[in-house]
Amino acid sequence: MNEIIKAEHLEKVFGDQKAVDNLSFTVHRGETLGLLGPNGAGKTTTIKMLIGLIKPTRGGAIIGGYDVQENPIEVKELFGISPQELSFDHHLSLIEDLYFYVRLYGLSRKEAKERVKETLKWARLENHAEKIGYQLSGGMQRRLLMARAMVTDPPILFLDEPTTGLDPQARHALWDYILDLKERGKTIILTTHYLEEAEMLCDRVIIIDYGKKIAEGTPDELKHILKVENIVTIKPRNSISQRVIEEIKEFTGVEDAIWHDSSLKIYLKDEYVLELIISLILTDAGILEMDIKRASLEDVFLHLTGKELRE
Amino acid sequence: MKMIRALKAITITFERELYDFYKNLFHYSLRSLLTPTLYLLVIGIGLGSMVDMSDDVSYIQFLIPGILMMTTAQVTHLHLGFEVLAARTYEKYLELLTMVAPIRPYEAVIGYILTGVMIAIFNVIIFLIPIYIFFHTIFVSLPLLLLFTVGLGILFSATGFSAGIYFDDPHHMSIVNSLVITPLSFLCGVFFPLDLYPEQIRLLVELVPLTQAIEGLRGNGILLFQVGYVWLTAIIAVVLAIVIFKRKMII
Ligand SMILES: Nc1ncnc2c1ncn2[C@@H]1O[C@H](COP(=O)(O)OP(=O)(O)OP(=O)(O)O)[C@@H](O)[C@H]1O
Ligand SMILES: [Mg+2]
Repeated sequence: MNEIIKAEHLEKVFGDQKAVDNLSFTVHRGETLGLLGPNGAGKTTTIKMLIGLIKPTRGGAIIGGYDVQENPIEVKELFGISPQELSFDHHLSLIEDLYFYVRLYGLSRKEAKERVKETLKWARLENHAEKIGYQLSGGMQRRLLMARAMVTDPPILFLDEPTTGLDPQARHALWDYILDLKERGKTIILTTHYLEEAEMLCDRVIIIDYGKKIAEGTPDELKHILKVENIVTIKPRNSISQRVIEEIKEFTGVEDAIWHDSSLKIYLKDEYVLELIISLILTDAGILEMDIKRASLEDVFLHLTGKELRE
Repeated sequence: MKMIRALKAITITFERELYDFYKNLFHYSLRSLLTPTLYLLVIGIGLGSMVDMSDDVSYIQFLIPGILMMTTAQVTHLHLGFEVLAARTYEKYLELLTMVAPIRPYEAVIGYILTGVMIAIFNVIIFLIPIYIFFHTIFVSLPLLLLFTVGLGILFSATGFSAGIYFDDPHHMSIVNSLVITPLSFLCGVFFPLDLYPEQIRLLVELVPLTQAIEGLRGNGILLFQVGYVWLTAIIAVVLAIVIFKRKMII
């Protein structure tokens, strides 16, 4: 059985709001799936339904062959989680915290002690083992959450925004841990706002907006949704008239043109129209700045939802 | 196999919470010593000299079962309440320890309640040590004390646990405490005999399990009924705590 996680028509309604709407997907053993979406898209709600913390209004999930609702204990033994929110005990040191946590998974005292030692070393927290969670730096706190997810050495990991709140350097450092987990053959579901994170770490990505799946594929496949190679961003001197934007959209060689953030984003299939576009805008509004780059997931997202990932 | 896993899950929760308690043992000992001693000194000796009990039982002897049971109820309720409220809302850790890890809701609840029972017993012992040193007696029967302490320990751990799970705001917890727990403790015949109440009020007061524990410990009334009543309400409270816990944690 290669499909280790199977979500079927997951739906969650809070009051009159559908937080997750008919979401189905599968994750294969050893695969890293990214759930990508803006704030409130339903990523955390989806994960909580997968781990049995939120009861789906409709649909369900099978993990490792077990139904999440019917066999919660069997399912819980299969995964570790690094939650979106930081969490630590206010009296227990890291070593005590992990010790009691891992023992809930049925390890003996001796096994637990050894496992905790290994894990602290893995997370490079062994020199802080006697500290209490809130005495750690931000990056270390995230590493503690990763350590808790890993301390039981589970086959499946849920990482809910594991790098949120970290500076780029600390984020890149944390990626190395996730890459190490991938190398160990873990199946991972990762949520993130950071497209470069999804491109870097995920084998497959599902883009969610308003609880609905709006696209799915490998990062490369998703980029091809755009059917474009390059994206030109032009910041005009004066505002571009709507007529000119419509005219540009009509060009063969132009897939789409979106007015966003006081710039015009033009999705190019063919570069030969570029000169024509530039001269048109130059006479209409003038050009302040211009930029040409290859399409990224960020552009795919903007194209699909009309908004950026981070608010 | 299933049974063993369940027992392990309960024991480890109990062990962790007890260890947490042990790490602050000094402060908790102070708490268990100070409050009842204040009551005893101020009310027992101050008021005692003014109160004239009808028979030859000294006022202190009358007071000690009441103070023991009242502080046990308050300490366990508050301790468990704030413990789970903090773990849930402030540390955000309760969810991982009781829901993400392979443990069933009822196992987690029982683990916490066992901790509460230990705290109740600890509270009683800490207070009785100086009493014994001072008076060379503890004034109550030891087996009865154990029965009622454990019963009330279960009951008020369950109420405290439920409050800590149910309320999201610590102020609401403290409101419940000042509106329910404290008045109840004062009404249950701790400081004066129940026959001072008018008949109807006395009936209401007798419905409170704390009253039955105190009267039972004093040797007034039907012991079997009193023990049964305290334990029955305790078990009902535990069942309710499990229901509240499940409802709140799995949305
Ligand atoms: N317990 C709840 N009660 C009511 N509404 C909720 C609850 N939990 C989540 N929601 C709503 O469901 C929607 C999805 O929330 P969710 O936390 O899953 O989003 P998310 O994709 O994880 O967002 P973020 O990237 O900000 O973490 C939001 O609109 C949120 O307000
Ligand atoms: Mg989230």
